[in-house]
Amino acid sequence: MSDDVSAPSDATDEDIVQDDIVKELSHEEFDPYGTLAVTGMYFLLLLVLYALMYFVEFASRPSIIG
Amino acid sequence: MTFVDHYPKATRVIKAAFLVAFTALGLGGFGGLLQALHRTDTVRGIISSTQYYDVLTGHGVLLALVFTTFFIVGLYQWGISRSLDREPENMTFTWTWFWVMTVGTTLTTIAIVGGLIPGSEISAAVLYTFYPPLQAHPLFYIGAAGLVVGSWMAAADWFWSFWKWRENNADESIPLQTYMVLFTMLMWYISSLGVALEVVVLLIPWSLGLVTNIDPLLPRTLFWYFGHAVVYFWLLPAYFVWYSILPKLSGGRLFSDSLTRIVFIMFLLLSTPIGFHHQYADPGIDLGYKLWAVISTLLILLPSLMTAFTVISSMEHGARQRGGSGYFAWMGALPWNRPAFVGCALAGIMFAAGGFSGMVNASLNIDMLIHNTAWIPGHFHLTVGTASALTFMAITYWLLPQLTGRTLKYDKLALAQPYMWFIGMTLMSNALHRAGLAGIPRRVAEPMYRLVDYDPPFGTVDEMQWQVAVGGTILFISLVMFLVVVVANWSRADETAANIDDTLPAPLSGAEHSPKILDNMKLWVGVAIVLVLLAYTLPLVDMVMDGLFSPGAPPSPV
Ligand code: HEM
Ligand SMILES: [Cu+2]
Repeated sequence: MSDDVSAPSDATDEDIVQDDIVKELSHEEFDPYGTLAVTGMYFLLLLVLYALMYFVEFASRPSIIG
Repeated sequence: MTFVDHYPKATRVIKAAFLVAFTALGLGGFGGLLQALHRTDTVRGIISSTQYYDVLTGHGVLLALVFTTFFIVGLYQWGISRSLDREPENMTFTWTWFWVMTVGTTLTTIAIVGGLIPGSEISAAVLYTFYPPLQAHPLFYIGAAGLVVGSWMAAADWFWSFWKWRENNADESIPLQTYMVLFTMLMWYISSLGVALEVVVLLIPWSLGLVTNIDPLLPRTLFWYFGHAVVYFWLLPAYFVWYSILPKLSGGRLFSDSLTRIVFIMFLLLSTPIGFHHQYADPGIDLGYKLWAVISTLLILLPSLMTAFTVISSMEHGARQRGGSGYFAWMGALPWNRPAFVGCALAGIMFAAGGFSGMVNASLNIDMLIHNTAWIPGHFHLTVGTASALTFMAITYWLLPQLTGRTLKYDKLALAQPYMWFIGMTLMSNALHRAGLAGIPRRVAEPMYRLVDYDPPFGTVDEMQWQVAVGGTILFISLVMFLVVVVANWSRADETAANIDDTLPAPLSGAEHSPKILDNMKLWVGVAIVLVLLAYTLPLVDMVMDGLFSPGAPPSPV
């Protein structure tokens, strides 16, 4: 426990347990493959959009800078 | 028992700061509505095309500088008090910085509003970047200096609390929230020095008439020395919320304490030396400096991607604890019915979209395509205008009960508000981006749609215009909804409600795994200063050598 998480409140550990949590996952039990999927998709999207800028500027129309 | 019961003195100053912040938000947001309607030719006549620039100055200053700074000092005071478990050390000092900031803001606002009053001598239609030779009334600059100096004092106050805490906790690692606050403010000291010098040494003497001419390039360079770091001054407090509170709102825990610290160090190091990426189109600056800015700007993608990873994985942790599964389906298990969570999450999604337009801005060559076009406001309404502003609004729904002891009333309205913002911003921002690609300029009351034949690569000019107008209107309605919730929840409850949850769970990988060197502030400040000197010494010496105020241009308007 890093000490800024021990909230200065009278709440006991029982109160802290959040209502909707169905199972506690420790660091070892948690494997963020969903995060990998999401960030991977985002990365692909960035690449595609970035490549698209080429067509915006140069393909099939006179360029804005002349 | 909640924050207000433990720290009543801190609570008062936090609420005072929020009061100024939200007042600025309301006024500035109304300006935004007027702009969206006026420049799209939708509703004309509320303001003239000359007054447009006074309104636009008010919008930029009140939102990007005043709303943000006041909200940040409130939020950070909260983070310092709770994570160090201390009231401010000396309330006279604390109220002094609050009033220095507030009086400064008032002076600046008077100067701007003066421009809207017929016959008034005072005006400041210089936009929030106040590039000379555009000249404002001296009050504008003096007030702005007050705002900055007050924020320096606030930071000093938090260091003071930290050192006091240190006396009794010599071997502890810095509490994470305090760490984020102090590193943000170290960056702020280094970067805002530039704008302070610009204003105090160059602009105030010039606006008082002590010198007649001004060198346009030097002040502009000092402005952007500060101007990119200020972007991180807006964003790091949003990161503070995303790292330390959002995991809890998602039902999970922060993925890693040490990753968080590393990210804040990288922003301290990289925020300031990249200011030249705002001056790609400026003459008088060697291409080499610009290329160096391109490289360091790409480097700053790294902490941004690390943030995406840490924040998303903390949310995923919550989603899985709440029973979510799958590669993407876990997102459905997040609490999309809680206003504070929804606001932060939508702000993060919009920020990711802004990441793309930011990459375009950062690329020296394709930046020329969109330089000074509507693309730019399209971009930063996703970053400061949503990633920061919507996060600040959303976390208010979670913080305000801790400051009043009252459970949130009007929570349905609060829940609808971030969704509305998201819809409004999707309309307005996509259209501004595409308008920029078509070459439609920013910062104009009269884009001359009938005189110039704009040729949009996607969509039509008419369709973009209504999207900006409708989007802007929805945004303004969302903003009013936020203010209604705040007003309804503002007063202190007679007795603190029992169910106000102000606790934060420990990170999955905690501070005990963080290397000690991450806490070495002297080291990191030293490196940051070296990087700043590398990026700025030569170009600044170049500009200063021929005299501070020359080559000089006369002020405008005359
Ligand atoms: C009600 C919501 C909002 C609306 C309708 C709105 C609308 C606009 C529009 C249409 C412009 C472009 C004007 C032009 O270039 O001619 C603009 C500029 C700007 N907005 Fe907003 N905005 C809103 C909220 C915000 C927020 C929350 C922030 C920041 C916290 C913000 C910061 C800015 C800044 C810095 C500018 C640039 C000013 C300049 O070019 O000098 N806006 N806004
Ligand atoms: Cu920048």
